[in-house]
Amino acid sequence: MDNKQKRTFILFEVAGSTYAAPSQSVQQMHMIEQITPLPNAPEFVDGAVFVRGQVLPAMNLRLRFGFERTANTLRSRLIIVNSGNRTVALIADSAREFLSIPPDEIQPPPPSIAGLSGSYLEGIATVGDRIILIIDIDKIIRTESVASIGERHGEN
Amino acid sequence: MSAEQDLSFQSEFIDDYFAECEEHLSTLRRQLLALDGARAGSNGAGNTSSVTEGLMRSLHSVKGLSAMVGIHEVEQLAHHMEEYVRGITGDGLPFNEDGIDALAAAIETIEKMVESRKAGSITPASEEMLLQFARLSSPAGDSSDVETAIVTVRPGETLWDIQFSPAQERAAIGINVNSVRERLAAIGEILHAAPLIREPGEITFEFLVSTSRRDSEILALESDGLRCTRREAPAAESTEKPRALPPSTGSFVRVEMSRIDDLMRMMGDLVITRGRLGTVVADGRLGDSPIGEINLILERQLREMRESVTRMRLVPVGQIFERMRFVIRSLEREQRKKVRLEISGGDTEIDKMVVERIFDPLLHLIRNSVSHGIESPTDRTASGKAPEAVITLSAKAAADRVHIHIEDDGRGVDRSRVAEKARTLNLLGPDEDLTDDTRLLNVLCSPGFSTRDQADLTSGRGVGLGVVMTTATELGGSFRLHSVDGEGARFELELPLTLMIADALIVNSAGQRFAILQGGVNEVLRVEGQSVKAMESNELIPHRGGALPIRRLSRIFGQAESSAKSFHVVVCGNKGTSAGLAVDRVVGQREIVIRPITDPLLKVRGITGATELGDGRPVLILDVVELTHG
Repeated sequence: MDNKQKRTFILFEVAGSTYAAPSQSVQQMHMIEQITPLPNAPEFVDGAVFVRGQVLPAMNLRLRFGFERTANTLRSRLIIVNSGNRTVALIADSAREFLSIPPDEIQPPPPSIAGLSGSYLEGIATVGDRIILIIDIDKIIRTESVASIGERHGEN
Repeated sequence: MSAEQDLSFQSEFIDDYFAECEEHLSTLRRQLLALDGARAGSNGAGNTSSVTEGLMRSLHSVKGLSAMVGIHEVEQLAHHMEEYVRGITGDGLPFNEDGIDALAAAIETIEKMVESRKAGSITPASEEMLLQFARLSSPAGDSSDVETAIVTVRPGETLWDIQFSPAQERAAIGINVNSVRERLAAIGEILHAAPLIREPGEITFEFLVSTSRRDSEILALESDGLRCTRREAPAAESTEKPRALPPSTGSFVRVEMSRIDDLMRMMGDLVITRGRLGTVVADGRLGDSPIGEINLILERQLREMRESVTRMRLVPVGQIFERMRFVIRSLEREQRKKVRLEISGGDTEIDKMVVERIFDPLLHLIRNSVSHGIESPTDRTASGKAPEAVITLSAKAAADRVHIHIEDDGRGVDRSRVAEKARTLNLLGPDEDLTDDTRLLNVLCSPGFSTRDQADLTSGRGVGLGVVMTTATELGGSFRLHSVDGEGARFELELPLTLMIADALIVNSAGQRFAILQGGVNEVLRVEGQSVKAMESNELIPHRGGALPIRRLSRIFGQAESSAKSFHVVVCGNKGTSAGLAVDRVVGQREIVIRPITDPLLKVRGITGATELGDGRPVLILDVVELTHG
């Protein structure tokens, strides 16, 4: 089998761009039902959700990537991701597609890439005429970077 | 018996009744078809006994269920049908097309009766139908009295009168008429079931159960508030020897669960009182005095006492393991498979609450194993296995966790079929496979994933593997899978020995609910807005001749401020240092299961954990001391 070479991703959209998360890190996807607001949480944490009885933070990727907040719609999705021993729910504008991308179509992110999301990218893939930004989940949910972005101190 | 009295009880489980009836009716139809087929094939009743047995069982269930919800016209009809079928097998009653037609018509009538109940319309008449059955089974004579008709006990079985009175506190821990009935059905045959009205507003359900279980096992049910009385059955053909009473009678006392809960609550109060004593000792610098010493001893003794009370809630997990034997027995019949259940570690003890919560998941896993894991005897022989499959249910305690494994020697989870299905549901990428067991289980547990085609019959009310996963994580445990293609699958549940349960106040602030553990709360005050005095940046209210500083939750959390004239203040802390947290309203008090908050993104000052109040939405637990003193 060639699945060692090809990697599979789940594609999702945030503020008009297409991102991809490695599918082995994605535990499941959900419609957004109820998020309990968490007072005094970092700006990009919309609150807490229960997923299979676990209390997880719901991280708004729009805010995480430095975009404006918009109201969640029927297309919005919670993407439950695992990294290390943590599980976090990411809020994306939409998510539905699976895609396998051969490694030679993935390039490291150009150092000149602008915007906050640049610091969370593992690579950029060009599939046909689409440009897909591959995220590094660990970097997105890691709290050291959380502290610096949110200008908070003493976390963890 | 007054129909109005039990209306409120009825409404609690009438939906279950409809659901169950539907199932039984479809089974009945199938069985009747099979019976007709067997009759046509064998030209007599010779080979039909297994089918008639099934038919009687289903009718019996319908009868019992209907009696319990007080739908007597269905009960009566089912009873007559059952008598007739019993007549066919036992008394050589004529069994012909008329009989089949009558049964078919009666099944239809029952269906209509149930439908009309559901719709609240007029129940179709059944007198004629009853007469017809009376004619068909006339040689059997007067058998219309349920009591006399059923009191024949098989050799080796005992007859029990079991009474159950529904109560709110029992319902809260999942003990209701339905669960009781299920449980009784698992340990024996329910011969008769009927609601009794003792005093106005009080209802008791009476079950007559015939069982081969040991007396001690039946009496163990009393711990759930059932009253069990052994009935001396007419010793028809009984070869039964007088049974020795269980040797353990002297060393056990049956206690109602609610009493243990009371004890737990009182323990909590004691702990708080001791805490006050501790403060007095510290404030008065009495640590080295005799009082200080007594305080320390008291603290240690209370801790020990608390542990013993917690231990009282532990019950052997074998209780529910044994019930699986009956599940497997009926699945064997239904699916024409051969399964042996092996149980180990049944004496492992686990919190009663946990045991009750995992019953359904366990049931589902067993059904899942038999339906999907285990092959037919022919297939097994073909692949070099013994025709009889083995399911092993085992429990083991390690530290404060209990491991429960459900293992079968079947074909293992069919990865390619699951993957195929997952792809059509968009749960899996086109090139992904499911070689990894964790990923496989995640797909199996996804909402909406259920290999429906086969699952309907056995997996009953749509309890999917997802529910197993949810229950495990809700209880603070985990759920894992090991599957080896062709060799079998093992589902592993890891659960806490006891639950983190506590009493909490539920409060409302700016429309959001929060929970406050009652352990730290001294009192709750209702405060009028104008009695609040502002002092620099602080707010004070007059309280017990002094001034109590208060902080408003809505301000701490940056929520919209309420314009209401009065609000509630939750007071905590020790005398002299007490402070109040102002919330819009205290809306209630209840027992909650505490879920820890572990993710650093959720660690916010003043929040210690979360709980769920039944709607799947997290409710944050406040740390009042941190919020008012920090």
